[in-house]
Amino acid sequence: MADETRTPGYTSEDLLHLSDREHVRERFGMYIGDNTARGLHHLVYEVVDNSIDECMANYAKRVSVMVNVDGSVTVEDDGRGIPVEKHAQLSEEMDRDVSTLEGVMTVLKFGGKFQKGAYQTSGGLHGVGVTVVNFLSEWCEVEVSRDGHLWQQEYERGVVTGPVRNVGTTTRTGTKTTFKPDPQIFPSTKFSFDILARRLQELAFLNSGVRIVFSDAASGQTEEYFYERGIVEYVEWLNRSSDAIHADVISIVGEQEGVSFDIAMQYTGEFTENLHSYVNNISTTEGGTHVSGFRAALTRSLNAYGKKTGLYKDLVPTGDDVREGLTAVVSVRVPHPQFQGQTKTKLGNGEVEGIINSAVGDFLAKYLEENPKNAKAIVQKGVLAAEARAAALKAKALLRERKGALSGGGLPGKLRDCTSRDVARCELYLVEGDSAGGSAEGGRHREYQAILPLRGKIINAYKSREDKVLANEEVRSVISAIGAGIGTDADLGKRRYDKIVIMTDADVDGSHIRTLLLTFFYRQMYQLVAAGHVYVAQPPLFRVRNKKQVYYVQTEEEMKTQLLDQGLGEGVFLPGDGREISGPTMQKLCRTLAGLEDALVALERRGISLRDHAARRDAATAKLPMFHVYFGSEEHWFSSREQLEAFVKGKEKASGGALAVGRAEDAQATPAAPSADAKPAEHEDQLVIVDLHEVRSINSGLAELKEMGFGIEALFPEDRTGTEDARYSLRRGENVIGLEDLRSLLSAVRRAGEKGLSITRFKGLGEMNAEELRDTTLDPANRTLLRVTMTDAAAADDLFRVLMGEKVEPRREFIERHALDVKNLDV
Amino acid sequence: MPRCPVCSANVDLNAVVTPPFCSERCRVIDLGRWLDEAYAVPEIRRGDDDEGDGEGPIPPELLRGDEDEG
Repeated sequence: MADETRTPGYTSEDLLHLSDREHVRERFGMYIGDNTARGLHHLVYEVVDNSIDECMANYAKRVSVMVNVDGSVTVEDDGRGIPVEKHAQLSEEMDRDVSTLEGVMTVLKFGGKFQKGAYQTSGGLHGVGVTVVNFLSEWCEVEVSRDGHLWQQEYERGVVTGPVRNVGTTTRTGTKTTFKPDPQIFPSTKFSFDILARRLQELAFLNSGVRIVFSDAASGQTEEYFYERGIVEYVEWLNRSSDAIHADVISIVGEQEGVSFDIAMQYTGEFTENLHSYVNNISTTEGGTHVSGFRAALTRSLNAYGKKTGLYKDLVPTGDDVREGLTAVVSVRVPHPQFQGQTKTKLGNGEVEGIINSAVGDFLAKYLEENPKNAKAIVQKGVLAAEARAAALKAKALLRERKGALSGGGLPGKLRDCTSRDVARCELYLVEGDSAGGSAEGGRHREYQAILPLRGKIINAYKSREDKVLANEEVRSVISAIGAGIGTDADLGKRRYDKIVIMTDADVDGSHIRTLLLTFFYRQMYQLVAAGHVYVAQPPLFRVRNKKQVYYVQTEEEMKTQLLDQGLGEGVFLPGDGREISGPTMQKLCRTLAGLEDALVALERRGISLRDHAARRDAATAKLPMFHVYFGSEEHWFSSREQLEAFVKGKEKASGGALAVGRAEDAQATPAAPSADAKPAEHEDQLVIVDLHEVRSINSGLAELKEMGFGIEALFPEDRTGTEDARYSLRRGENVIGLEDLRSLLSAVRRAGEKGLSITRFKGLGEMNAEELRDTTLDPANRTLLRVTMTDAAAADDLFRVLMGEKVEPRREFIERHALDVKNLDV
Repeated sequence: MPRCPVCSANVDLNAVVTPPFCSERCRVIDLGRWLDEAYAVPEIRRGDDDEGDGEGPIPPELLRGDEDEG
């Protein structure tokens, strides 16, 4: 191979340099890794690196790279241009006039970079520069614009074909290198647009302010990369299709002991880490000391913050956890990088680790302190990752346990299973409390009804509060008793029962346990609920004994109605005006009063007394107002929608447009009507309409009463003086009871209805014996089951989220409000 | 749109593989919380006054305006 260049007149020095060329061509692996696409593209990077160095030294602003139609590549910059004058030392060594340009192109390790100081931390250091590119090219041409002239020199397979020529004059400066990779070296010399584009864009990110224009002459495709904010934009670009959990990209820039660093990071909702690291623009895919320093500081800072702020509870996230969702670019510049590892892409300089670790640590500690919102989001992301890791282990253990259970038949010890294996008939009752469980076991149809008693486990959540949870063992019992599995493992076909019936006490605690169970089913056994296999039992609330006869009543409404019907009997109402009301008229009167009762209670719960409200009656229609309206500092009551609309229209006219509307909930939150001057200024001119829905029922009830000769004042006690006689009275046989107002007639009649009856209100399932449970709740002939719909289950989940809520106050309010009408909790 | 019980991401219940969760990962986190007994609802103390009308969910007086026992 050496024959072509072995010409007479070459000195031993020449031969030395000649052997450089031969060495590179024979051992290209040592210089560019290999002769695959990777090595081929590396040629371009080597040339581009030189231009980037000119940019970083502030001599150049723009680098253009073009893949030419013939497969050659042209790299051009607007830097100073490689010097073309005679290089004294080299000329002496070689005993002829040799220019610096020729030295750069044909002598290994000749470049300016090797004199420390010319380029502090140049990227090309890793490689061996443009010389190698020249040696591995079929041909290469360099044009230098410098000192008003355009210079040119050509090479073939690394051998200069002539002296540096002065082509002409120019006002520009810069270097333009065109080379055609040698097919003798590279099996394929076809450049990939995408590979080059990716690396050139990366270089533009890493070197902010450098404009790189890349084009492919064959396709006419051109890309331009220019990033003023550098790797911050890199991170934004990497995260372009992810949801960031904090808006800003965190940027850490500095320099210590000659090591400069530029780090950018942002967290997204993703579950993986996306970290790109570089040393002197070279991608360090194996990481190294700069990456380990960064990671150590990140873990340390986040953990310190998490502990200090109490965001960490039981779990402390690991380094892997805190890097979940992290997108980061770590770019350092090191004067003398040592590369290690399989592909020589791992930084080995020990001093870098400490420098990055302390710089990042200091920065992050301050950043987290100053940006508590972002800090919380980031730390919680790590906590969730730790939780996911721990939960995955538990889920795996549970799965193993279940598989073992299936083969070993290990059903939960507390399960009282049925004897039948006919799934279509089988039912599983989840019963609150062990004693109720015992009664249920006694009262069930053993053949096809199974009982699993469950107890809420009380835990001390905080000093002043006790919470109830579904114990770990209970959760596992439910899963294994049902047998259909959970999550991806779920198979409805393997369920052991057709109906899963939740049976809890008819009180707030019972409704909470029911909510827990429904939420669990909705979340972990979604298909079971969707297929309609989950039910809620309706145990009775009252047992009524009438002499020897016993019967059960399920709801309070039903009980009241029954008492009313029985109490009417022979009762005669004396309204004090000479009338004696009895029979059907009496029945009608009591029914009307019963219908009024709930509406009156609802009105009073708003803090509005009927007596006060009566004074606001409409003069013309005698109707009670059903709209309570605030406008700015004004307060109004309207008894019809027409009146309300007329008022709003008038105000709109006065203000010349639509009115700002406030939330009725806010107005209701302060039941006492706010006085004019107490109204906060910001509510000024806001229209708030409170719709007193219940007044509709009250108005129609009042109309019915009127027909029977009673006005609204009959409903509240009279302010009477002197007389001791009762205003109204109820007579039953010999017995006469005085009544203050019409509302007490209702309770007097009900009390009469109670005579001869023994009514027991069950406070829990445990108060029922086996027989009672069978007759009311278990026996399909008598029971009422409510099938849980997806809507019901989703509502339970919503309720659960409120009950679970971290904020104590809204939670307490919610519970207190719902404790009043537990009916709303019945899902 | 419903939100994932764990990470609060919007969830299209008909489109995800693991309703009502956005992902299997979030479902597993939720399962872990159940197994850890981390899901608690407030315990409501039953009335201490016992007998007759304990503090039930429904106001103790079955009949409005009762002044005396039964």
